Amino acid sequence: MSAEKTAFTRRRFLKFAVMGAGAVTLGACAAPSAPAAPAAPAAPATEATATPEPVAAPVTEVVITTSGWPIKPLPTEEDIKANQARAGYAEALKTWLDANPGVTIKQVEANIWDQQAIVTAISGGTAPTFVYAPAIGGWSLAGARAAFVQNLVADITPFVEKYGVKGKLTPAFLAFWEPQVNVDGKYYNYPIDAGTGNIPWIRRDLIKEAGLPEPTPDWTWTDFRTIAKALTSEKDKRKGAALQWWMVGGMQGHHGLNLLQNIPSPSTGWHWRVDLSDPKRVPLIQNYRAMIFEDQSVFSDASADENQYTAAFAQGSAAIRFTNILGAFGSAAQEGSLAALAKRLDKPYEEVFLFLPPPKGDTDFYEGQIYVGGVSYSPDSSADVLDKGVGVVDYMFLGKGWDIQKAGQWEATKDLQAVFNYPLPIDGKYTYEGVPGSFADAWGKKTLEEIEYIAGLSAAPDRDLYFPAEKNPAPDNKAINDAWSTFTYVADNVDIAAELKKAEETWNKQAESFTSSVSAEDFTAAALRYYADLDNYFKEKMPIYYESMFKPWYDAKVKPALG
Amino acid sequence: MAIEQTAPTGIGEVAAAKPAAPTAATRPLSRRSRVEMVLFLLPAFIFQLVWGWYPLVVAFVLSFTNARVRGPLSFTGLESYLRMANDPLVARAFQVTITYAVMSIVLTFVIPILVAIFLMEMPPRRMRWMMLLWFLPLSSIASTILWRYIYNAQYGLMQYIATHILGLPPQRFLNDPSQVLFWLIFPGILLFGPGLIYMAALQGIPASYYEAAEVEGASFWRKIWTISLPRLRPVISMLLTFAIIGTLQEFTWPQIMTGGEPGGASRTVVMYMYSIWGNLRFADATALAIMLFALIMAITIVYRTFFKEDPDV
Repeated sequence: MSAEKTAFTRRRFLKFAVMGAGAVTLGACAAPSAPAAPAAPAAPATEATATPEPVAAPVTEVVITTSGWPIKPLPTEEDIKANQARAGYAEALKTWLDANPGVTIKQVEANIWDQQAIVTAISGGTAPTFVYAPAIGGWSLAGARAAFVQNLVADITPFVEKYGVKGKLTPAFLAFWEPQVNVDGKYYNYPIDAGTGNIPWIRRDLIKEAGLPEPTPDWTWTDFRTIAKALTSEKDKRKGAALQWWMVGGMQGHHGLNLLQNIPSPSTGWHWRVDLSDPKRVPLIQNYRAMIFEDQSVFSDASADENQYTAAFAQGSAAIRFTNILGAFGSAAQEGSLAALAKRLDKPYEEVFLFLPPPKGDTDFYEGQIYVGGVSYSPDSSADVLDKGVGVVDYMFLGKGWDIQKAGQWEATKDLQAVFNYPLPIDGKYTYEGVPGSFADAWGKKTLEEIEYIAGLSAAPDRDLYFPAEKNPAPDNKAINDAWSTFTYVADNVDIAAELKKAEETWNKQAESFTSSVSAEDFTAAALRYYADLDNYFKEKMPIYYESMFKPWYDAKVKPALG
Repeated sequence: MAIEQTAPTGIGEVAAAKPAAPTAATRPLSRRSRVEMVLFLLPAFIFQLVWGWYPLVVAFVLSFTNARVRGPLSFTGLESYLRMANDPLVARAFQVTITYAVMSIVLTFVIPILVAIFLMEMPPRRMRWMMLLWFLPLSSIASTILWRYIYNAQYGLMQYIATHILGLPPQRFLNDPSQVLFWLIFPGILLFGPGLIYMAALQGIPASYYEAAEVEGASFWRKIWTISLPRLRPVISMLLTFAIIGTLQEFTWPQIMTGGEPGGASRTVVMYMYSIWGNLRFADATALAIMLFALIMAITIVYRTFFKEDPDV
């Protein structure tokens, strides 16, 4: 070969440059790969076929992508060696995959719990198959429903029918779940579990050690302050409670004030305005701030994230923590779990932890705490992906796969706590085939009773179910959250009334520039129904709250607004 | 100053106005050279077009629509701009951002200049050690998380230093709206920011300049003022441009450290934009982005107009 041929001359370099630039140009200008057609609703099954056993189907190449929730890819041998409890999961998923040839479950990087991150992924077409609608909608039911009508999650109605979920839920859970996820006859969510709102986890053993009477479900925020102060210990480096900034809003909600915060305003573009002028708020917030800055009984810091609050409780450096019940039942083998703390203290779980409804205000007001969690699907999913994606979730959570997982976990660990980690089974199954025991055996009868009590609290009519799902962008609660954050973190000279006024004015000013997709007539009709139901509910269930707070507010602010 | 070359004129010849001989810079390019030039520039041009100007133009267009992830777009005129202009939290975010930018530039941009000059005065061995300590290659995100723990007002190291070593009353650090921006910038001071670049530039100044100044009896400060700082001017100019643009777009540190708390006192414009985007208000977010772009562009133009970077001017 001659030197002339091998030399990388300027001419050859230019040729390569031209080819490279051409390739870049073509790559950049090419149309993006055609997105999967919007989930064309597949023809509904001719009959609702509950499918406890997977049935071999014709081979269709389907790739389901997952962030790891609620379905993980099939564990490898190494994964199972590292954690034997995964053997059951692997067996169940393998059974399903064998019955569904052509389906691949692929792990992808995605944070489906972060609203900004998941919305960005959806807008870029890179969201995983499984998503969580409330996270997309800003952690509210209204937001989740709005996300559905704005096509940010897929319509899975045909598959809700096909997999027969309605026949699998208990009547109580079905009655709760269905209205929430059904928008104009279409479904956007498939149920997998049930949990509670943010309820207090309390160190029962420390209360006993301190010689305090154990709080009961009708405890108040005054009791809370007393207990938090008593459980604070400089010697043990322990705070009475670990409370994030939003708890100052939660505390007002426990007094029944959050319900009175939104005033219908059908004559304005957004139809709602905020009112934080209730004089009860200031002393309540003062009392809350006194726990943080005078009693020094609360851990709360702007630099701390969710994990630090959880860790503070699990490590014993905070005696009370508000969060969802679902996180309370990791087995003792799980680092940082409550069971691990109980084991370290060498005490039964139910003797260490107490679960109660949130403290009350000075009336009989309480809030329902139950919710049903479920999976939603990326709007870019094809009908095949939706079919298999719903199918695998159904099999692994409500079908035979669940029993296989539980039996496998028991075989691998012989630990009932590793098996019974869901306190509120939505299908009503409290025992599993091949597992000798129950939730009460694993965690204690007292614990189960406490959770069932909380789950049994009745819930007021939900505003979001009365009004049509919003198709237009909505104002968020940043202005109000800023006030809660200020009350929680800022130690000096906070004028509470002025901050509330500022938050109210800011929100209302923001709302002036928004327009609801709901007409004033439809809004008024929905509002009349909602408030009439609310009126009846409180009159019957909470007469003290009704007479002292709700009715005066209803008469003075809502009725005139609705004409 | 460059000496202009002219063709020699002969004796008795009329000094006719003869055009200057073309230099390499002014000689017309051959067709082939022009093609080559275009080809060399093309990749960079396409890259800038696709990743720089195209998104900017799309964002600009989207800001005048009701942009949504799915569904038809419709033109909404200045609605998003008006909404953003009337949002009190936008004004607050701009105020936070500008305060942050000014503090950050003063603390992490000016101080390293002085530190670099002092380091240059040290014996070479000590200077190398100091540089090693300062320029540890720490991951920005990792150090952010570390600093979060350090700042924790109840359990953090800074509180221990403040109360146990310095004997101060307990501090609120990131919980105090009047201090939060300073504490967000503080790690940047310790990490020495652009100091390494200043040191490289200072090492490039000929020693003869300083020797000549010393012969003339110039003091240490006089040498800094008349030699070091003027010679650093091109570097300062470039880094200051980057600093202005970077600090006005600050996001990572406040987002991870405080999420904008307390009470929005550390919420920058880009953080607010990100949260608006997450709330499905795409047009509002892009309108806010265009507003920030306009501010940065205006500041940069004013600064570039008035700051002379040539040290000999």
